[in-house]
Amino acid sequence: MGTSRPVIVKRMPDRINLQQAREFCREVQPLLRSDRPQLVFDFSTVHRMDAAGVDMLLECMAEVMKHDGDLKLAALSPQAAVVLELTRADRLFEIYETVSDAVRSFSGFLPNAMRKYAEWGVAATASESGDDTSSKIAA
Amino acid sequence: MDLAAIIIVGARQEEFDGAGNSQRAEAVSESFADIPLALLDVVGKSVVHHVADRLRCAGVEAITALTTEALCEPTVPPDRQLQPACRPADDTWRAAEEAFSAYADEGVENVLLLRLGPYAEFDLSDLLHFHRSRRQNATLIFDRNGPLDAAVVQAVRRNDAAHLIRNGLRVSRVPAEPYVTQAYVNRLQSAPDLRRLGQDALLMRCDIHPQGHELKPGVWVAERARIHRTARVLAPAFVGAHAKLRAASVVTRCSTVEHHAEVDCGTVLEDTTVLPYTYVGTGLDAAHAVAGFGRVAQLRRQAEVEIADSRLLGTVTASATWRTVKSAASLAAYLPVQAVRGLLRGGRRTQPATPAPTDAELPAPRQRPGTLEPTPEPLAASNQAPQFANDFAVVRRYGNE
Repeated sequence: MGTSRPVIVKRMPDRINLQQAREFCREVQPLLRSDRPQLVFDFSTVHRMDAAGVDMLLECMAEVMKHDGDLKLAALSPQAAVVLELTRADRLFEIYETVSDAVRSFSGFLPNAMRKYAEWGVAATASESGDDTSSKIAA
Repeated sequence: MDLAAIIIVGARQEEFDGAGNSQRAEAVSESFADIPLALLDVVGKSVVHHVADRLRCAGVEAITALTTEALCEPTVPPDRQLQPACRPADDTWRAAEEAFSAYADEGVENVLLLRLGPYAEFDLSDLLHFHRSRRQNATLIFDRNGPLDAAVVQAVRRNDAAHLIRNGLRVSRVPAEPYVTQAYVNRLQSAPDLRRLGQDALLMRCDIHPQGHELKPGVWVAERARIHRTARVLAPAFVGAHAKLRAASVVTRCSTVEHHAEVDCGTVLEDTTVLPYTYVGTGLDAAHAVAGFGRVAQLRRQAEVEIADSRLLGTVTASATWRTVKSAASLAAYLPVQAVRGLLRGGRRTQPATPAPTDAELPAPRQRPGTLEPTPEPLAASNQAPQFANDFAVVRRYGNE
């Protein structure tokens, strides 16, 4: 089972400084404002990133969350990984080793979770005991 | 004079195999930010100075330290330079040969040749006893993992010394029994080794002692370090001379902040070395890293990256006058902005809007004492701002606290 909405992969520029971050932000703005956007930022070519890049990522994340979407990061270069870790921004994003892993994660999470619950029989017991777990999953 | 020492710093250009053939050594850099690790500070002094101190304690008075001119004392200001000052030389190996000849002319009996490189705490008197008892021209020093790029040579044996020096202190002209030490050795091949040396110094695993006062068990603070009253230094840790820890910063888990470094507000250093004259920005979280000279070596990722953004990682100028001028300028720029902000706000302070809690964010229901049933909460309360219990606390652990 997969989602019908497309997952958009966007490659980040080589250098993410203030100017590049603004340009990139302008470029992805229509994507961020679409209905429930599903975005993956590919960091494999990023050689230099500064605090402006982190600010830009947080802005993108905020915008995506407003529209009930999700933004994931993939293939972090060592430079980007260190900067995100240093600024504690790595905790705010789902980060995947490869772009394909990140794309797959959009369609894979919900059915897998449901399958697990079905295997454990949690849904049945929860409905008997009045727990609202099953209703959350269905929602 | 019985023994003299020549310390060669950062001159590893070639790797020598067992037959004395040279190969390029690409895998082992022995440097961080293009500075040999032996010239970088560990708990208050550079490694070369720790070695020199150790030799002096063992009774070696004549010590010569050699390094390339470009690398001479990169982090130590002139007023703090210790003896021996590293003597600059374009070709350190040739300079070592000349220094050896000079010591031989002065009538020294034996010369200890060291390349840093590896940091080893071998017993010097035991080494000399071994060297003399075997009646060898030159005795190479090994540990269980191989050569330590060090040797003791009789000063009259200039040809043996020249052969050793030309082979990177690894191959002697005449086969001889090596001295194998069981003492503490750190090969200082990369940034993780520098971090490990700092850890070992703080944990007393080696003979390097932090250069400061032990304010409380495991916390060493050097003279004129400035620590804000809200900053936390959790043992074991070291704060070097003239270093600054600003408000709400945390230094923990064997972290070392070397002299003239600055850690800005709210930054957490965990198992991290901050090298001299390094500024670490506001609200950062540096863990398992070596930071300095615009670079960060992330030990877990085994990556060394350049940080160009001075808001994250910068350099503090070495000149005290220039630092004062910069501080005054930043204060002059800060005060008018705050004054304007204060006037525009008009003394009103607005409360940020509290988002309505979702199911997951609601506080845990309180239980009646002695029952398993949760106390029913008023329905209206669940739709308002989250009401946390009086005994609700959020805790983050640092070390043993």
